[in-house]
Amino acid sequence: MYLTPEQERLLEDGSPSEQTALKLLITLGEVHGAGRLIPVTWAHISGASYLTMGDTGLEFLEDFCRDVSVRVKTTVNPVSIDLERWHEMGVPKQYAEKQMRIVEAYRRIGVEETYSCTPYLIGPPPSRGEHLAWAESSAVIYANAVLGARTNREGGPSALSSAVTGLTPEFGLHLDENRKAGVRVSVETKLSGMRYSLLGLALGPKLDGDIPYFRKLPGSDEDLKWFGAALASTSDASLFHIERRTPEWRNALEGRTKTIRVTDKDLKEVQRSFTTGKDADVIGIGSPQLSAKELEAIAILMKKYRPKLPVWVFSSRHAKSQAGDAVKAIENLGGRVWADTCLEVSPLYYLFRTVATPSGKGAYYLPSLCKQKVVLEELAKLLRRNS
Amino acid sequence: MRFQAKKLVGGRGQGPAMISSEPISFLGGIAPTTGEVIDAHSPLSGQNVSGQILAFPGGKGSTVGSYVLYGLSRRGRAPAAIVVERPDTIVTVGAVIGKIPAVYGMPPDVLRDREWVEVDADKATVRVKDVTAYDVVTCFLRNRGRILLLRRSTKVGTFKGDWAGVSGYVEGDEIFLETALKEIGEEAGIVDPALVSTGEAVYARDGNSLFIVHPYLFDVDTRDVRLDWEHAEYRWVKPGEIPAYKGVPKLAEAYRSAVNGAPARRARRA
Repeated sequence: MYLTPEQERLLEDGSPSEQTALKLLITLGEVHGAGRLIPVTWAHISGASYLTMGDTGLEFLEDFCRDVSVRVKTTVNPVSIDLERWHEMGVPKQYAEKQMRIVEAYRRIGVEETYSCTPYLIGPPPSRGEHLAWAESSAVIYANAVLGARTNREGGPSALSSAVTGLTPEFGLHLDENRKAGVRVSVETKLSGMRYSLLGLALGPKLDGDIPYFRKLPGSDEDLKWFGAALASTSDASLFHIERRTPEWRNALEGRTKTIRVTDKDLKEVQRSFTTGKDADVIGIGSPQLSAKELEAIAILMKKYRPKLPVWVFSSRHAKSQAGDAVKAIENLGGRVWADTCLEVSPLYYLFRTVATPSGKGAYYLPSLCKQKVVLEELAKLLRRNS
Repeated sequence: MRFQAKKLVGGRGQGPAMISSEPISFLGGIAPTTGEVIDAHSPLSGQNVSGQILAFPGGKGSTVGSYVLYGLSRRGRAPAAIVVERPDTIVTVGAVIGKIPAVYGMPPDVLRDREWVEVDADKATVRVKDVTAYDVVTCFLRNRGRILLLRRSTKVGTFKGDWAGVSGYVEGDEIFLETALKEIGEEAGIVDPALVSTGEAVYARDGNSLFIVHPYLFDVDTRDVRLDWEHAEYRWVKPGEIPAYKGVPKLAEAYRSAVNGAPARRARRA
């Protein structure tokens, strides 16, 4: 791989962690055939939750963060607890302390304390064509597809390496030729609400590595967030195109492509297969975290149905601060609006066994990460059923 | 044998080979403080990877597995070197942050369990002292959908009585395709075969020999075969039947590689 003189110097004279970071990016780049490293404007790091990192991850992170600091804007994924209200989550003190050590390590190197899987909703989002190094598959697919920014699906260590070097190897979705659609998707059923999540879950296994192109996919940016998060759970898709909707649709199709059909039957089938439980003991809403607008919508639904089951809502501290009234309303009706964490990395299993959720990504990860059974269902239905 | 792999992480390491035919799950699969394989489903279960030349197809499971390699390295319990067939992110990241010498592009079954292996990752070589590597070609001749298999005679030096494609050692400074055409003439009496595709090399370890098999697929316009002393009989078989024949090592893999290989430029046949 070609290195600039400046990069060569960093490789030789950088601090031990800087050298490790640069070596990691070079090695990953060489394995993937990248010719050089390119600058990124923004790194988004995953690997912040003690639930997934464990003691081995914590050990690496504390060692690594000793002698570096970030060189570009760097945000970070949710952790495993609400950092202010973890006492209310049934979490043992030792667990919270381990989590705090991870937070402290990131704080030390200058990471913005977003603890969010929706960094594009915090401050100005990245622009079209901007090169990023983002981990968190749901944010990666949103940035590429909806915003037209460019990032591969990074892992925790590679995104961290990009944060402290400001660089990423140039391959994959950073290059025009790898952003073309490989398959058309014809959605032959009506979509709304949770059905965007179902579409994502159902489509993933049918893709076979191709980037999907939709002639028509109505729905808001929020709907695409749920769709993308679910799609990125059941496949390695990190980009999709929608005609007359997403930034790169015009040049996305080249030559003939096959067409995949998704029908109502497919959606019902995934809903059935991801529903592994029956009587939920909590309604969990998140994964990805909710926007301010979504918090407001939930407050309205809660007022209407007044559910008797605990309702755990996951959002970012940023969105919570924008939707103060809605947060108050939800909490007054017995709900909990947590910040800093998210559905499938939260400590649900200390208190619950079966989660009802409208999130496709949540339904995908909850059984393995949180040992939960899942009821996958439309939010209004869940609230009504338990009112 | 000095096997040319590809460099993942520089450095050198030597030790006894520890082979896993299955991908390794590091998180929950290997104890990060001792190196013991705790995954009950792993073929290495109960063994310890410390100081070994760990050869395996790739990583699987949680990406947090990279940190297990880091933890081992920090405690001086890491493998002496890693020989991985496919360098996925888990293994790549783990080897870099753990500073473990590592190469890729070599299937684990090139090595034998417990034999002494020297890895020079800077040169991307894997060396096993007493093993000799031989380049051989194997040619699959196709006629109207059927493939020619030859049964090796009792007069040949290796794999007596086994079924094979047209094959032979690459001698001196012959180029592989030259050897292929020569062998087709000698062993099958067929001239002017049309090259269809060239497969990636397939590796077959047999005792202290490593055969680096270069597979080719040719179309021929006759089923008339004239055998020489090296073979006792021949059959034109359907491709799906190849695995059912008692063949030389990796026969079916070599066929698959040839069929899926790089297509030849315009056949020279009229």
